[in-house]
Amino acid sequence: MKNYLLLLTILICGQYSFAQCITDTTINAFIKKADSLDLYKNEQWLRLLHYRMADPEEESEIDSDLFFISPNGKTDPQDELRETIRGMLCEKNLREFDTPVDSLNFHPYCKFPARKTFLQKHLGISDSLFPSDNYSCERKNSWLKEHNTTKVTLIFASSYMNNPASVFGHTFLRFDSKKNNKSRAMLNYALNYGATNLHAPGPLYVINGLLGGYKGVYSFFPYYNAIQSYANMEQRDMWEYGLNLDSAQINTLVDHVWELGDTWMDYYFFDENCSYNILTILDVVNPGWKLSDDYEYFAVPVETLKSIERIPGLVDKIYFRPSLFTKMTYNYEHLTEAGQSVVNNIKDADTIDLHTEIQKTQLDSGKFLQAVDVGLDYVQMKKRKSKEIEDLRYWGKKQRSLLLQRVKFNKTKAEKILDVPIDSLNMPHMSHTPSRFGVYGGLMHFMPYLSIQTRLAYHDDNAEETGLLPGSGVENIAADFRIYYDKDENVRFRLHSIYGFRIQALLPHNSFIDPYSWRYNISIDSKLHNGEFRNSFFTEAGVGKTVTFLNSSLWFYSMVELRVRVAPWYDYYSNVGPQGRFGIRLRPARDISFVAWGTYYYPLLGDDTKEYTVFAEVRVSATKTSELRLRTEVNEGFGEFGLHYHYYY
Amino acid sequence: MKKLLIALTTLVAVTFAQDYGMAGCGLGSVIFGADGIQTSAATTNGSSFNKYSGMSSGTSNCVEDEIAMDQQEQRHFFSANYESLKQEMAVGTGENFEVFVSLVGCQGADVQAAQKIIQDNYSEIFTTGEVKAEQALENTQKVIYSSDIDSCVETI
Repeated sequence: MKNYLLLLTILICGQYSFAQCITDTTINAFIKKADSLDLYKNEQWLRLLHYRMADPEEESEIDSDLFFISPNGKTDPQDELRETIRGMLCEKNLREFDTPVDSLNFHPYCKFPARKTFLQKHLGISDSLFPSDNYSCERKNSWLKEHNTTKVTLIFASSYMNNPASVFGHTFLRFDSKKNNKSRAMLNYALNYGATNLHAPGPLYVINGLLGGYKGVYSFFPYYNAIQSYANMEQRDMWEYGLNLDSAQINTLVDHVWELGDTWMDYYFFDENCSYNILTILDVVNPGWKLSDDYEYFAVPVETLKSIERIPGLVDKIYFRPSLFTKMTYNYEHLTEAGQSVVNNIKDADTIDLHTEIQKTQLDSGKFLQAVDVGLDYVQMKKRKSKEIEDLRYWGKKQRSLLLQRVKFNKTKAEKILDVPIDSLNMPHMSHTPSRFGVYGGLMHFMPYLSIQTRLAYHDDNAEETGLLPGSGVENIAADFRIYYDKDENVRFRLHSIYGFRIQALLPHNSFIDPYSWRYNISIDSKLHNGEFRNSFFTEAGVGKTVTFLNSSLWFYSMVELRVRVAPWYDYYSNVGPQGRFGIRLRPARDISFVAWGTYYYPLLGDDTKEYTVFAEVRVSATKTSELRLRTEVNEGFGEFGLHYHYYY
Repeated sequence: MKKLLIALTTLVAVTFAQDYGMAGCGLGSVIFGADGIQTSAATTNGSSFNKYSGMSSGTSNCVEDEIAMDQQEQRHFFSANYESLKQEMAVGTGENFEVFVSLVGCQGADVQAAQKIIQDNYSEIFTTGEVKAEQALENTQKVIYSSDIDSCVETI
């Protein structure tokens, strides 16, 4: 029976039952030393545990039990420190680590290498005190060896207006090893933080995301998968920000990534999102940077680039990886007219014979093949974008036929496809800051007013758009308070409007793509009712088309929309109907722009007043952070005219 | 005889690698699509990457045989970049194509030589209809291995 019990112990506890343990006295001495130093308040320790703002009074943002050794680890950094010392030096107190499966992997000594380095540095624990004889940490070591990191790069995938989750762009890290240098960079591994199981219909998806209803996890995968997804499928340009870290910093970072392995957190769209949780990892490297502390409420991915740019010397080189679409259009624009016509033929004809084409064209064979290769990029893009099986078949067939013809020119040297140069005046980190404060003054309905407006984020389509996707605007949470003289010359104060969410994606048509533009707006605004301003709930959604002229400085768009206004004075409390919109944008220079639009609303339900609105606004930017706008808006029975000053921060 | 040996080794290695499939291996966790086409068009900011296994599963513990490891890496790379490779192999150059040839083991000037041979034999790799990625990879490897380009063949 005794033997049986011993066997059972061995089976359950694996090697632990044989493990040597240093004396409690030694362990307690280290704990005492840590306590006397108040080591748990050390900023790096708190960063290693992901305590918000590195504040010991806060709690860790990690929600997975496996990340903590103490059951109180999420809220008590001191207890976690004590238990980490105990757990690493002796396996007597292990709770969830005594599983026979993967026990090598899960012992704290192997699982938390960055914590180990931290403890050694501050408490002077020598290597010999760790149970290294019993735990070889084989898995951790082979992982570290496999990803022998010599450089870390922050990647930014630019905005993608066709998916609400991607309008702000996305960031993740890439771990570059020596063997995968520049031309093999795509073989390096990327670390991504993202939400799982994003399956909820429409508004629920957003609400769930705002409330942390999704589980966020880190994943680690080859960078080429990211290139395929972002640059080749979603047609998003990618920016690679090389980070200048020394080897000790890189080791800390990689060790910490290992620690995060199977951990998870509640995912919040606004604050604890993908970009924020990339910065929290970088903060482990150098707590003094306080990168994640820039984002108490709202982490816009593009803003995180500004955070790393704020640390002198941290970014050493920026590399641009254009999307397939960017590469193709850039090359198309640089072809001669004859070259462009070859591409157009490939684009439009159902079947094409390259041998006939080369007879017809006046291009030499090298230039002809260059044009064919641009056409092939177009066909590839169309095939990737095909959602219907017929489209997939059509473009697949066209592609096969073209490629089989293309190889027959293997004896001819083609003129090379051009690399898209990096636009060093228009990089994502150069965009304006997202929060905005405004002071307005003017006349509304012939009454003088003064107004204060605040906006949390991020960009509207008449703002300066360096580094941003032209024609797109996303605004969250803005409020407009007004003080005015009413018609009886009384001073009145009121909340004029609140914007919850306002988004406008003007996606221009060109010879290769014909996307739908769209807009959505949900807010509370003011309406004149019986001579009094009253608040009403307002939402509109629309789709349409956009065209641009004069080298993309003049834009026209039109949309068909559905408008809903809810107010107590309407029949059925609501006013619903279709609305048509026509708009213009003119951007003659970076610091001057003009927008105007007009709408016509036709009521179907509720009040039967047809409504037109005309809006025009000119902007002049004085500096990167301040601008003036002159705005007028006129609609049925109401007019407003004002001068607006905006400060961005 | 040498070539036959090589072909046999390849076949064994591929079969071996396939056995591991989804068994928690980092690289092996992505399988060839049913028709070799990537159908997922939206990644929703990286959420689709979560299908890749986490940090605790490197490839090292999964496939220990080096040849099988190389094979697995090639399969994964080829399938993930299939749409790009298909075109680059016909054109004769391209970033993905170059990396793939280097994964096969070709070095230095042999990279270009291998690219040329693949381009010249394109119609044998992409025969009729929509060729699956797995089949195209096997055909490509056959073309490389039956060539006499030193560094590409020696690595086996």
